[in-house]
Amino acid sequence: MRTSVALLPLFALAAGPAAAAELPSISMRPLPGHGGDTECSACHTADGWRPVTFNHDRTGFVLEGRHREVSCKACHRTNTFADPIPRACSACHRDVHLGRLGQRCQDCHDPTSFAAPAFGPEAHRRTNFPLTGRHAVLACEECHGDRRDRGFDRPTARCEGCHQADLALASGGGAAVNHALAGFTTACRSCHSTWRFTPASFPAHQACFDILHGPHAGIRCMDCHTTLPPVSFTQPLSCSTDTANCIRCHANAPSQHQGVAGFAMVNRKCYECHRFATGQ
Amino acid sequence: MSAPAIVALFLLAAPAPEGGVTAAAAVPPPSGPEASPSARPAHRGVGEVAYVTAERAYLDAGSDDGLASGAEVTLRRHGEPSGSCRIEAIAPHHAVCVGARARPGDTFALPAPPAEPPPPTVLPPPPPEDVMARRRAVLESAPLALVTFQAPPKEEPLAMPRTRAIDLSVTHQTWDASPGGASSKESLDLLARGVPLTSWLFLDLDARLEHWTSRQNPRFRPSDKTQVYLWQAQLTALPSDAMSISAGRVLPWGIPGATVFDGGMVGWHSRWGEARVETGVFGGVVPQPDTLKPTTQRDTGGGYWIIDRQLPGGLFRTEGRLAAVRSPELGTRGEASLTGRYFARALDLSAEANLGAGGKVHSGVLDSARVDATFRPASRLTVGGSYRYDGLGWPQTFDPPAFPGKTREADGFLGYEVVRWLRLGATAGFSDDVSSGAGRRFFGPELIMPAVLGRWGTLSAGYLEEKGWIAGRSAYGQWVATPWRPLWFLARASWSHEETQGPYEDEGSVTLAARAELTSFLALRLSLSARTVLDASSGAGSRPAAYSGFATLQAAY
Repeated sequence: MRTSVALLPLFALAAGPAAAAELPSISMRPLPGHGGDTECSACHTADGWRPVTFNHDRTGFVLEGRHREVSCKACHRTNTFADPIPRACSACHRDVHLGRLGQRCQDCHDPTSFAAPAFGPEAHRRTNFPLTGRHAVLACEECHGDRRDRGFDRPTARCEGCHQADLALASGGGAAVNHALAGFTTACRSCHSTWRFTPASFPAHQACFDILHGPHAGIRCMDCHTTLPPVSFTQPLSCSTDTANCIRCHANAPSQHQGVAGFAMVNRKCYECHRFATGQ
Repeated sequence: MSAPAIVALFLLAAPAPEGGVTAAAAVPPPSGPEASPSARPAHRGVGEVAYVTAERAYLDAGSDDGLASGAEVTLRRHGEPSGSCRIEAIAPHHAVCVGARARPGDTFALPAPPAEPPPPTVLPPPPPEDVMARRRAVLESAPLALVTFQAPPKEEPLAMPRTRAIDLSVTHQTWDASPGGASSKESLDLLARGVPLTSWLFLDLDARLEHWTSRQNPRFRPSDKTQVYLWQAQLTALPSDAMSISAGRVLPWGIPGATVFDGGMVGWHSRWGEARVETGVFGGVVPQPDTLKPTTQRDTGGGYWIIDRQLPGGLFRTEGRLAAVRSPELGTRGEASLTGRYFARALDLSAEANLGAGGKVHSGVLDSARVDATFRPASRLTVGGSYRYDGLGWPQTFDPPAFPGKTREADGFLGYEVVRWLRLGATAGFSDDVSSGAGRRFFGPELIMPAVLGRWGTLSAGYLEEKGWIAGRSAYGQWVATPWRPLWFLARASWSHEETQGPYEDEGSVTLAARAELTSFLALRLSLSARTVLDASSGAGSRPAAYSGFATLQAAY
């Protein structure tokens, strides 16, 4: 830099009146190869060409992570800062997903490393399958089994797509309720959460007896029912199945119903009055 | 009093050998043209030990007498050598040395004084103004043209420039849910790009070794505790600038719609006007999608082209592929892919279409298509979006399903920088599973305050309203800080509500992450995330909770 600074006035003085008239703007002249109206002092100091002190944040493309370590020419390949260069990651980086996931790499990766993706359950909510419960603490590969193309394609939106073995178990007598005999459909979400299969809810049951709130919340089917009648999900649930055994737990009911007209120690009598019982 | 304190007091308070002026009170000697050589004291030649302690000897000579810190001093007693000591501390006229059993009165030789500096040259006064004006006029009227520097034109290579990089990562990951149990995995990732084996032969390697130390209810490869995935083991020869030959397990960069194959690829590089053109052929057997094991059940072969051109405003690239593909799921079919991408400062635009015909499954020619766009019409405004369509319904030849089905997805976003420390954004989109009819829509605002806490942090928060087959809403708040360059921290809290008829509706989670750049090529990453249900009144039993975390040590060259 010192050499150039010393030479510049010599060039100006030697260039005749026209050049001398441009003397005040000579510091704005681009250095060889930089192109355009590059201002030397924006990057260099009088102490030397290096280190370069350009504040890249002002360009709107903040140099973060590994971008801080590369040379200027790694991105500005045409040897000039005047040529606009793209900001899209894939304009410089090769894509191991081979374009399957689009061009917005920064949605999943940060500038420090492609190897450690920053995609998590919060980002997954912008897909067709939000990750909740235990789905949020699974390795990605447990659902996205296509390891070859790394495309993270939709594996399935159906529960039984992954939980085929669990459905077979529940339909073969391996669960508290035989799902096949009970006529349950594969609308698993109607009753089950993504945390665990039990306790489960049965929303249609609310029309007969509240098992979502109060002391009966979360109670298992066979704790009350002696048998489970088949369910038709196309019809309203029948509340007169005569299969609920209230007395098994509430054997002391007579002492609590002294003077209650019509009381009888019969299961059906219980839920005729306590249909929406929450402890009353 | 400590030894250093005594040393300091001696150096500051001991009387100067000449004139009785203490060091603390000494006036700096005159300098510049006023300084007279005659003011320098005469060289003494010999110094003397003033007094001693058990470990140190205090000398009556200092830096002005030619002694230097760390120098060895040879002591003499009655004219005979009595040992040596090393200068520990020094002042202009005094010094302290250690390492000898000295006695007061011991003498030592002083080095010769440095040579006298030459007297300053007094420059003549500048020429008178009229002489300067006359010289300037002569220069200005000289008939010399402005000397300009023209850089020689740079010869751009025909082939795309190859970047060289080597990354090695060791990771431990763990997932634990109650109820459910824990899973944990160790993995080793190796990534090597463009490693030169000779001046014309390069190696690309992309592989992972995984070992599951514990695993709960695995869906894929349940019996394989140790798994190896090899995406690329490719040797590329460049016999000339106009040709490249690759063989091995090829990861075909730049060939749209293609996949990993075991085989070969030959490319020819040329120029078409100002555009850089690569055309080529490829072929080989395609590994299994879930294990990447070689198989003869799947294969592919065809031709491709890549055209790159630097336009005044940005970079234009188009890629294409014509291929025959055989697989157990789709049969033998012909495929064509075409992309067009334009990357500039104000606009990123990308479009891609994949066509197919023949085989067992008919998708109506269009297998898939996607469009991505990001537009920056002003420095503070960014608008973008993407649309993706998958029309090819893959038959599932094994469970659980791994291949894509028919889907439609789109999303858009908008960001505006109100002031330097405040950005407002919004996002919206949908995702539809065509085959099952299940779909979702989402929209919501986002607020980002970049570096609002200086190096102690960027704050951001967002909210999403979600409709569709899994409806609900979610929100998050996040803090990211880089207190000093090698360290990076993140803390995030999120909440989600699901409109379900199941027992749990609300969840909360907390994520903590850190990254430390230990050296310029070594980095450590840590992350821990925990979540639980928030609606405690729902259902019987214990409150379910889960956490996941990982630690990665990454070396990059």
